Amino acid sequence: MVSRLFLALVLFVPTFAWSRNILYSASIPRDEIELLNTDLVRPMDLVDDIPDFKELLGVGDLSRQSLLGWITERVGYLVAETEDINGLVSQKYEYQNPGILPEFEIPKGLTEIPLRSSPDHLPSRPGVVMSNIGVHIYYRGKEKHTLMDYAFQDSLSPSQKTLLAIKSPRVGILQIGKELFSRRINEGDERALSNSIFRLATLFHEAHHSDGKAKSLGFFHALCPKGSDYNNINACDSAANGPYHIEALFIRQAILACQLEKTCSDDEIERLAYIGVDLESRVLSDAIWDGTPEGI
Amino acid sequence: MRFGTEPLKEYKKKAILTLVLSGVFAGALLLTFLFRKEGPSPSQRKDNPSPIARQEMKIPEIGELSPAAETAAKSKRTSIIEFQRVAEEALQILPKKRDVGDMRQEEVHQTPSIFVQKIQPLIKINRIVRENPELKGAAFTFYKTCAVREDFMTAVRARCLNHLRKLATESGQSLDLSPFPEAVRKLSEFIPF
Repeated sequence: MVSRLFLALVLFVPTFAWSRNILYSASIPRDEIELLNTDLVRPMDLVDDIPDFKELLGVGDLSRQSLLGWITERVGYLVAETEDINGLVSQKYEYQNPGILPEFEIPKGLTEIPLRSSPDHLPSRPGVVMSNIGVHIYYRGKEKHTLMDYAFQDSLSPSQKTLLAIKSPRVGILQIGKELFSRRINEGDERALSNSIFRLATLFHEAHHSDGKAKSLGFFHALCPKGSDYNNINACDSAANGPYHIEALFIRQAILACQLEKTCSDDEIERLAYIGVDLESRVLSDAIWDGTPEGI
Repeated sequence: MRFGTEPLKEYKKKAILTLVLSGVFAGALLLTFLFRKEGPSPSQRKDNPSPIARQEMKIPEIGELSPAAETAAKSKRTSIIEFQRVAEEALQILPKKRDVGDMRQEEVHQTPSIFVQKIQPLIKINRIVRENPELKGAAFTFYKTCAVREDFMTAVRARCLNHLRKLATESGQSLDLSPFPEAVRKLSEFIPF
């Protein structure tokens, strides 16, 4: 009983009354859970020099509590890359904005949309850093006018599975891969602040895929145009308020804090800056998409 | 006709030759066996080569400079010639658009990890300039060369322009931004220095 209580304390991230605890699947190794929880609760004061990030998130300040609240509104469940992530067909269902779905651009030379940007093929192969599978399952269900369930096995009670009805992408199911932990800004210390910044930035990106409705549902990535760095790959955003800009802005504000408080080395800052600028370079337009969530 | 002792001598010669050859053969076999016993197994050899083999097989890590340039980059005092060597190698290593090539969707959804490794030379240049302020002039040339390279990833060009702007600001110089495209200029300002 005591050990179970201890486990619950370790695995739960404290959040506010209006948000929820992020639950980890039994398929995620304990050390990865602990590392992510450390990231989520570590004190991190982002520099608040421009209003952009606050406005995009719709939060009043950049305190840890506000940011955690934003994340937990969009992320409820984390599952491992090894898990079967295909939803289960449940029953006929009337979705909000019926028949209105995002449009996908197929890369030249391919006959179908590749993984990750595709709602039809779920990214179940290794190599994934993090992926919002909740929105993919929701999309598939909406397309087929069928409610989909996801069988979630909580790390706190691994003997039983809970069926999650995916009535909104805001159910928030994210798949995390080994790449999330093997990619390092600071090679020597996986708990270094710079590594936390990278993991949290990725989390902000994926969390934002839980937003949007009708055509903007999921803020799916656009095909990068000819002449761009990632030409003919779905690795750009047609929205100025898409996941890449949010991720880039988080990195920007965190770098400024690092510079101010001297909590990262110059080398770490350059690596983070490169990533931030690379992500920002993928934003294709100034268009603002509707971020209102669907299904809630 | 040579009968009598002649065949016997021949026999002895052949016997001695056979013995010597057998000895050499046995020795060779023994040596081979001993080396096989003492050497690592194939799997060990793959993961943990002998120091000599390791030296011969030395393949630079991604983003790593040549040994001479690496020494120069690590040294607290770097000469202009050493800096130029580091800079030349950096321009070869830094991420280029063609490196995206056939990368899979999963690899580019986030910044490819190979690119984060390949910007290591830029990090080393920054470090050299911090430790050797007299090299700022040479660094200015390097950052400018990097920022105008059309084959480089836009983020690389933007980071180089960011450092160029920083150097110009520190030295009170005005910088002509006309050689740099609008996208590179805008991105160079994304993270203030």
